[in-house]
Amino acid sequence: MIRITNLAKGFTDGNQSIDVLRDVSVEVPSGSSLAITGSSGSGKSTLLNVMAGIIESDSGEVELTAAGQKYNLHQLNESQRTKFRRQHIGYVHQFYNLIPTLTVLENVLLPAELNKRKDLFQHGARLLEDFGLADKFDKFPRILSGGEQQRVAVARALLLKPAVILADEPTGNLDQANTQLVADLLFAMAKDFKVSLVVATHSEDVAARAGHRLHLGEV
Amino acid sequence: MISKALWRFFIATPWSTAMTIFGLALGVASIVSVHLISRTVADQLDKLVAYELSGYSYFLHRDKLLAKDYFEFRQHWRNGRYPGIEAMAPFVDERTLVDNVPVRILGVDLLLQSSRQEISTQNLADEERRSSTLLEEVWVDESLREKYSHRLAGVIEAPQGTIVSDIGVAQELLGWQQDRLSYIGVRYRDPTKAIKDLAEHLLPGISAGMPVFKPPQIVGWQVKSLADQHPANQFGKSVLFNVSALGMLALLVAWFLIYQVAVAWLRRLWPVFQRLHVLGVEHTVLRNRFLVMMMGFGMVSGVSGLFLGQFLAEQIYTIVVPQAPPSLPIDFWVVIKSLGTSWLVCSIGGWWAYVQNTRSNDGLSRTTYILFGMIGMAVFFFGVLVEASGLVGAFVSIGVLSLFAASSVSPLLHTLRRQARRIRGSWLVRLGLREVIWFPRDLAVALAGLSLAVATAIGVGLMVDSFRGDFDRMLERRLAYDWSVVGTAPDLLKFKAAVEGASQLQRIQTYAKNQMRIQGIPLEVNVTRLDRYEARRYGISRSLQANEVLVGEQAARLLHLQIGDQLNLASNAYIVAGIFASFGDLLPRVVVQEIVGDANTVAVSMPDTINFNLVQSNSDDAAAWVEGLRVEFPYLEIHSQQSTRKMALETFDRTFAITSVLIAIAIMVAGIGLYIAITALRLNQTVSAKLLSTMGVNRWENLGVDLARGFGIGLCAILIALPLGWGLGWILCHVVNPRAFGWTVTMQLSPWPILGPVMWGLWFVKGRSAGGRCCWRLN
Ligand SMILES: Nc1ncnc2c1ncn2[C@@H]1O[C@H](COP(=O)(O)OP(=O)(O)OP(=O)(O)O)[C@@H](O)[C@H]1O
Ligand SMILES: [Mg+2]
Repeated sequence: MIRITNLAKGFTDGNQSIDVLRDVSVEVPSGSSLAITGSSGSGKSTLLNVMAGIIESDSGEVELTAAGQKYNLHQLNESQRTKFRRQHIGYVHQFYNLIPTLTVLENVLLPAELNKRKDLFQHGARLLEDFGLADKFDKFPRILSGGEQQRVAVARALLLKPAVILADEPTGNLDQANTQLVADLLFAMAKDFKVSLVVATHSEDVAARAGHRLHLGEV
Repeated sequence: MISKALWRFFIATPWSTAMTIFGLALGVASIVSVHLISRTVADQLDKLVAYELSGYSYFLHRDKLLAKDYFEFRQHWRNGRYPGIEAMAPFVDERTLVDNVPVRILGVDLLLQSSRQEISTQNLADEERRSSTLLEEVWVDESLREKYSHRLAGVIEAPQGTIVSDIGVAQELLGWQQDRLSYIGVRYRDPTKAIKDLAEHLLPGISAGMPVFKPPQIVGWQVKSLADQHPANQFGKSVLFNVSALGMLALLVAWFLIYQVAVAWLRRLWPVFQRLHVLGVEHTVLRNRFLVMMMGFGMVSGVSGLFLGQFLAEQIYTIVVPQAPPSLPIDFWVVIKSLGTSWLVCSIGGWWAYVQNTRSNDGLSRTTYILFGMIGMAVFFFGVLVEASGLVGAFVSIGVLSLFAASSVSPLLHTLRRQARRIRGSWLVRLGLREVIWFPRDLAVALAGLSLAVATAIGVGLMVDSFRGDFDRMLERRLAYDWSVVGTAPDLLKFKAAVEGASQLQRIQTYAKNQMRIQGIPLEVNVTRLDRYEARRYGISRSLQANEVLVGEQAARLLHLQIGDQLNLASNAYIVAGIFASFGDLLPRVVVQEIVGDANTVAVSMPDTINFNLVQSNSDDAAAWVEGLRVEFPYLEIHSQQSTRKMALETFDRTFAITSVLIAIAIMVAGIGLYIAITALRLNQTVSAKLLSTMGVNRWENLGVDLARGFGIGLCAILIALPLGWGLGWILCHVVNPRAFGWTVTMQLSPWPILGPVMWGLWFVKGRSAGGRCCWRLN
C-alpha cells in the first residue's frame, strides 16, 4: 500500500526555481496498480524518484507498507532509504535498464545478490524462461533487442517480489506488439505476486489497464 | 560556427578542458625535469675530473721527460706523423712538500691559448690581469690563499693543497731545472664526437655508454687515458648511463601521456563532432580543427610545463641532494626536446586518434600483425645476440620489446573481453573487473603507458639492485687494503724498503703494470704476489702457481679463454686459473704471479702501486704514522681507501636516489595518464551508476566496485609489466652493460625492485579510481 499526502517538490537551477510537484495526494492499495499520466515535464519521473527514495521531497509524506511494515520515507536518512529501496522496490526505466558488463541472467539475479538471497536464483532463471528468454541467459545485453531488454528489466524488477514496482515509461520506445507483451507481463505478474505497480506512461492503452490513475497537470 | 560550438563546449566543460591542459603540461614538465636532473648529474660527474686536464683525454708518459722531447714530439706531429692528434700541451704535475704541507703542483703552458682559457673561465673576471705578470703568479685553492697572497692570480675550486701556475713557476716551486716536464697531454680527433655531443645534449649521460675512442699506440711513450687516472669517474659514467636510459623512459611515458590526453579529449568532443558531421561538416575539416586546437593547447601547456618542470626539478634535486641548492637553467636543448616533441606528439597523436575514431575496424589486419611481429622478433634477437650490433642493437632490442609489450595491451584486452563471462565472484568484483576490459580502445593506451613505466621501474630496479651488489664486491676488491700508494717505481721501492718490518704494518703488497699486445689486442698485465689473501680478491681461494694466470672477463671474451685454457704471454705459457668480473676496467686485464728474481719479461717490471694494511688501521696512532710517511715521501700519493670508499658510496647513493625519483616521476605521469583515461571511461559508466543507485547500491559498495576496477587495471598492467620488466633488467645486465662497460652485472632477483614499482603502480591506480568517485554519484 502506498499513501502520498500533500507532496511537493521543486528544483532550483541557478537562481531560477521551479515547482514540479505541488500538493500531490494519492493512495494505492496493496496489489493494485496506478498509472501516472501527464505531459512531458509534468513531473512523472520526479514523483517516481521520490517514491523510490532516490530524491527527497520538500514537504508532504510518502508512506509505504512493505512486508507488513510501514515506512515513512521522509523520516529515513539516505542510507536507510537506500536499504529500503534495495529490499522493497523494483524499478524499470524507459531504456538503459541493463548493466552492459553483466550477462542477462546476472542482470536478473543482481537484486538477489544484493540482498544475499541465493534461494531466488532458481526463481530468476524460471522467470526468464517464462518471459521467453531461455536461450539468452549467457548473452550480454548489447545483443538483445529493445523488447527483450525490457522483458529482462521487468523480470529483474519482479525477482524479489517487492512491495512496489515503479515503471517509468517501460514501453516508451517499443513497437505495438512489444508494448503489449511487456505491459501484459508487468500487470499480470504484479497481480500474481500481489505487488503494487506504479506506471508512468504516455500510452493511453497502458494507463487504461491500471486500477487507479493520477494525472499530473502543468504547473 | 564550428569554432563557436567548440568554444561553447570548452566553456561548458571547464574541468575537462583544464584537465587536458594540465595533462599536456605535466607531460612536458616531466620531460623537462628529468632532462634537467640528468644534465646536472652528468655535469657533476664531469667535475670529478680536474678541470685543468679536462681538455685532454690522453697523457703521454716516459721516464725523465724533458722539454726537448716534447718539442721533438710536437715537430713530428706537425710533420704529420700523428694525424689523429688534434692538440697537445706539456704539463708539470707533481706532489711535493711546501713547508711540510703536501701540495700538488700543476704547471700548464699559459702561452697556449687553450690552457689559459681553461683557467680564466673558472675565475678570472678582469681582463686586464691576464697580462704577462700571470706568468709569475699562481692559482691556489682556498687553503693556500694566505701563503701565496703575494703572488696570487686567483683562488680556484680544487682539492686542498692544489697550486696551478705556468710551467716555469711550477718548475721553480719544485726546484726543477728549466726543461723538465711530467707528461704531455694530447687530444685526439674523435670522429664520433659530433654525434656523441648531439646525443648527449638530447639525453644527458647517453654518451657514457657509447664506445670509447681507442687511440693508437705511440712508440716510445706510455699512453694513459684520463679515465685510467679516474676509475671512479668511469664507474659513475656507467651509473649516469643508466640515468639517461631512465630519461628515455620518462620521455616515452610522457609521450604516452600526451597521446592519451589527445585521445581522451577527442572522446569528449566526439559527440559534438558527430552531430556536426551529421549536419554535413566533413571529417577533414573537423579533424583539422581538432588538430589546430590540440596545437593551441600544446602551446599554452607546453610553456607552462617548461617552467613547471624546472620548478619540479629544482625541488626534487634539493630534496635528494640537500647540500647543493642548484639552479637548473633551461637551455635550447630542453626547449627543443620538450616543446618540440610534445607538439609533434600532439599533432601526430591527435591525427592518429582521429583516424582511429573514424575507422570502424580495430587496428591492423592479422597478417600485418604477424608480419610486424616476425620482423620485430628478428630485429630483437639480432640486437641481443649479435654483439657487433653494439649498444644501438641493445637499445633497439629494448625498444622492440617495449613496443611489443605496449602493442599487446589492446589485443590482450580484446581477448580478455571475449572471456568476460568467465570472470566470476561477487557482483562487485565482476562489475569492477569486467569494466576494465569492456572499453579496450579507451584504456589500451593508458594501460600501455603504465605497464611500460612499471616495467622499466622493475627492470632498472633489478639492474640497480644487481649493480649495487657488484658495486659492493668491486669496492671490496679494489679497496681490499686500507691504504694505497702511487708513484714512480724508484720512489715506491724506497718506500717499501723503509716501511717493511715496521710494527704498525700488517701486510704490504706491490703491484706492477705492463701493457702488451696479444693477438693484436692491447692487454694490461698486472704482476703481483698472488697468495691466498690477494687471490681471494679475484674470487680464488688458494694461492696461485707460477704458471697460472687470472683473466678479466673482458680479456677472456676477447681472447676466447676459459678456465684451464692456455695463454701465452711473452713466450711464457700460462694456464687460466680463474676469470674475474671486470667492474668497468678500461683495458682487458690479466694478473700473473710475481716471481722474484726471474728474468722473464712479463714478471719483472717496475711497481706502480703499493697497497698496505695497518694493524690498527683506525687508530690515531696509525693516522699519525701515515702522516709521517707522507712527509717522508712527498713525491708519493698516499691515500686512504676508506675515504675513497665513502666517497664512492655517497656518489652512488646520491645518483640512485635520483634514479628512484626519476622512476617515481615516470610512474606518476603514467598514473595521471591512467586517471585521465579512467575519467574518460566514466562517461561510459553513468548509466550503470544510475541503475545501481536505483537498485539500492550504497556508497561503500560503489567504492568496492571502484577498488575492484582499480585492482583489475593494476592486474592488467602488471601482467604485462612483470615479464617485460624482467626482460629489460636482463638486457640491461647482460647485454647493455657488457657492451658499454665490458662487464656483466650479476643479475639478482630480489623482491624489492619488483614489489616497489608494483606497489607504486597499484597505489596510483587505487588512488585514482577512488579519488574520482565523486563523479560516480548521481546528479
Ligand atoms: N535534477 C533536476 N534539477 C533541475 N530540474 C529538474 C531536475 N530533475 C527534473 N527537473 C525538472 O523537473 C521537471 C519535471 O521533470 P520530470 O523528468 O519529472 O518530467 P516527466 O514528467 O518525467 O517528463 P517526461 O514525460 O518527458 O519524461 C522538468 O521541467 C525538469 O526540467
Ligand atoms: Mg520522465
